[in-house]
Amino acid sequence: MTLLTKKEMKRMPIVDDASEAQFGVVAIDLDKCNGCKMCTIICPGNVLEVYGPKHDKKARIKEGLSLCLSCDNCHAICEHDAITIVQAYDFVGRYKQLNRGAPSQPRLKY
Amino acid sequence: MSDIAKEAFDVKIAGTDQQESKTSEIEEGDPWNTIEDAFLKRRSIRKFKKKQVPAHLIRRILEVGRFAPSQGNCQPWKFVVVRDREMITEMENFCADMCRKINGPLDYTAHKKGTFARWRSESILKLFAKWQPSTVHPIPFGAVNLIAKNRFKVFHHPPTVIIPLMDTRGIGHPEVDLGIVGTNIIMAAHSLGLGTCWVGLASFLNNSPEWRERLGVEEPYSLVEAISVGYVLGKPMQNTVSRETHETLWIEDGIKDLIY
Repeated sequence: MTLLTKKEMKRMPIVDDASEAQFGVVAIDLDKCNGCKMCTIICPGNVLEVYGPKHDKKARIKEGLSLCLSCDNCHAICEHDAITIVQAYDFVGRYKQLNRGAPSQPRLKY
Repeated sequence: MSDIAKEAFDVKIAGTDQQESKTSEIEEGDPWNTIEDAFLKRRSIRKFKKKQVPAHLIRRILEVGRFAPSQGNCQPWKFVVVRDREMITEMENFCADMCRKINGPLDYTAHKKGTFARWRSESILKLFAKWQPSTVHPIPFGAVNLIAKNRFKVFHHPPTVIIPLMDTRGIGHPEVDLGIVGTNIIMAAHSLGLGTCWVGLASFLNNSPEWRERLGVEEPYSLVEAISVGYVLGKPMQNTVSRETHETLWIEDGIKDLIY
């Protein structure tokens, strides 16, 4: 069981520093993605964008600061099962995630 | 006990037995039942159809909310339903303005590292964090930032907003009871094919005397959260989602175990 130290409790992470703030990460299967833009519309973090060469526009993570909150709404809406979160957000200091395992779909047996 | 009463009691007991045997019939790995599936497939909806939800459906889901469990049966809530599009837009604009005001001095990501402006914003944020640490968690901080830049919405333009006001005199922890009544409401709405989204940033309205008057928020009530309700646009609930597993401390037969 992981706990926070008093020093960590007082520490605020700097969100645009990759060593202090790890936002959610999604994996996009570019072969399955047909660029329908549904995930870009649904994304509450405004993280995704459809771009690429002509006739091959696919969903991709926007450049710059990503605010992905690993909600997986993009997976829930995707008709082609092309996108899913692989890593949830985590921060140093006060907001460090405690006692979590890897992301998983609802499990009937574990 | 009269014969009739005894008979009725026996029937009740038999009913309970039936329910219990039904539970024990479920084997490990059996598929999710309808209610479990509804909970697993519910998503927060942020794109609504323009069509208004019939008033009787809103009253229906409020009625389900009324039967939520609460500490000491104190029911520390009062509902406000806003179905006036212009008013919802005004609420949206007010909250977005508040986000802009807060974001301005706090948003250090707008300045380059090493500059004075950056140092100043970071210092203000750290002071702010001492006062209200949970509000400057990177995720709401990011949401406020996006709203300030017009890249995200507060209420998401729903046709109806349900505001469960909290009676601050509630027994124990009235915030928890408010969450439970809200869960009843959103699950009832979900079962009727409606989409909902909790709106935490609506709490800005609680600090505005004008909005308190317009929404009828008077002592001892407090506006904590709002729930946007409307018809779902598209199919955002086709698949279930992945979520992190959580460490669970399992205590049985004197043995402590950790499971995920």
